[in-house]
Amino acid sequence: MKGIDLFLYTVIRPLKSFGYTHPFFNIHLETLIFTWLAMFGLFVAVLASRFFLKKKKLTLPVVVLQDTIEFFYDLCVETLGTFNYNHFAFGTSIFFFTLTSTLIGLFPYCEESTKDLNTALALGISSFTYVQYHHIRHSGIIEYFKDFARPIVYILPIEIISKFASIISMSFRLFGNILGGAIVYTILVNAIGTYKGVFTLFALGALLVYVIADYTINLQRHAIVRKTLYALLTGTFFLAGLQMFFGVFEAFVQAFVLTMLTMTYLSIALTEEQQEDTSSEVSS
Amino acid sequence: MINPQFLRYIACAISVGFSSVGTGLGQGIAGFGIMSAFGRQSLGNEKNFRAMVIGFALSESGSILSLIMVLILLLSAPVLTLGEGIAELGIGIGMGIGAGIVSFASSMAVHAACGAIARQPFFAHKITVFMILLQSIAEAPIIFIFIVSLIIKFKAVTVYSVYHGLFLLCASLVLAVGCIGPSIGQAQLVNAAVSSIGLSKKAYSKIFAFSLICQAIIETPVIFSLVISFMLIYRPALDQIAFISVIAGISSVIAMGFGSFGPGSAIGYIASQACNQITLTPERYSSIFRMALISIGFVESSVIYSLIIALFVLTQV
Repeated sequence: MKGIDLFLYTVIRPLKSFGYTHPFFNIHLETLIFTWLAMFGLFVAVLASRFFLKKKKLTLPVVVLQDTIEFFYDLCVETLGTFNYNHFAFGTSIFFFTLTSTLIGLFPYCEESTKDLNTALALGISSFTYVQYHHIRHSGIIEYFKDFARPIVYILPIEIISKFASIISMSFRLFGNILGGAIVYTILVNAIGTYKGVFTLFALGALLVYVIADYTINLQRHAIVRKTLYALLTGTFFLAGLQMFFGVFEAFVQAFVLTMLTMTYLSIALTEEQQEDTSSEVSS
Repeated sequence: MINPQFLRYIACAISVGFSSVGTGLGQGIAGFGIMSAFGRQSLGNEKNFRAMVIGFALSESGSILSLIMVLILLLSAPVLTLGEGIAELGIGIGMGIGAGIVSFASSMAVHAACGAIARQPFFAHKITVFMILLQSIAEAPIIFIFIVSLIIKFKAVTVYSVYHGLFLLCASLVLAVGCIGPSIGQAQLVNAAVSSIGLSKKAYSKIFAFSLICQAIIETPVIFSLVISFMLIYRPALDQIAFISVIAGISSVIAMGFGSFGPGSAIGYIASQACNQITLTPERYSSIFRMALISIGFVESSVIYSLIIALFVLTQV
């Protein structure tokens, strides 16, 4: 049971020499490094997709990209009613940032940065701020504050608290699920006796071998080579699949839930006003 | 003087026993669903079989987690003090109740999915994917309980008195009691959502988004319980826990745990009825969606009262 460190981070205190030792000013080194690593990975992915899209040929990456963008386009239209580029971009960037910073934990010596409560809180607060900003911009500052006391005035404190409780529920959902998955996977790896992320390397290596072999020799002619390579691929991907459920699947689901909740809060904030307008028109 | 080791054995027995009650009941209902689906439609037998295997494997993950916890308890060093034993008893009760009720909730998805596949065998792939998604979100409470149990397990070595042990028992109890109501709600919603896809596959994309959001909202009481539980574990002044702070811990369990029971199941009722309505009239989706979310928001305000009161009680002592 050694090696399970729940909340162990290398902590830097940058303002220590000025006399500020409050935990608010602490920096978690691992979280910082792996967040930047995830952002670098996203940047590389964006450059690669730009390279593929510029070629104007229908290759596999182009099809995958088009399907992904179409999926998010449909999501945006279905939840918000109309397509808005800002909301679309915000939702997709939240999704991909959460996904990358969770999936980075599949590699050896890497830690999920969403496992830290600070990252999850930052995501929750930024999503909350975005929704509130668009609510104010849509309905005006006076109407925004009137909305808090909409049915009766007595509901004011509950509305304010429930607004802020949405931050807590969003960030703790992400944090708890990712942390739980990471712990379960660590226990599994300890029980088998290997170190973390070794299966991912196996699978990626087998995939690389397969791609190189496919490129250099015609695999359709050499049946024995093809069958051995298939067996290698299936075996390594089965081993990597041990971490599939709690690693990959949970990461996708949680990133999607975060995006959907942001979109839903946004749609509630944006549509209430329109509904009242139409009802008043009908009555007059 | 009693040997405190006996509390660990009771904890292991409760954990495995309670979790197998829920899992067995749920899988029985799921198996019943599969058998009646076979009778209804012989075309979807193969697809039903695949959905059943995946669904059973996923709904059992609660009991597997509880088994892992029991193995960790049994293989670690023997219990020395009574406080440590009480803390481990809390782990056992938490894992048992949580795994049982969560496995029951996620088995309802398998039950509904088999009926839906029997109605629409050519839509089986999407129904299976939908079932897996709903199950994995419905199983979030047991993951939370597992985290809290592990933290308590590592903290249990440093327990210095019976009162501290009782405090840690409260920490796992608040999460265990707090996940009962939401899981009943999840079972309702999951059942309604998957079977309504079987009724009309045109409503698939709408029900997909709606049930995902509702599941996330049903989980909020569980997440509030997790916050309270973390506050109970990481209490700042740990040098002395008196009898009065144990009373505060128990009152926070009553406030938050039982406070989330009604709202959690009520949101499930509302959301399942909304799913049925969306299936009947998909073109009125936006108005149903808005009304459902507003009523869910009103129901959820009482969970927020419970959270505030529990936080207030904990910060007083």
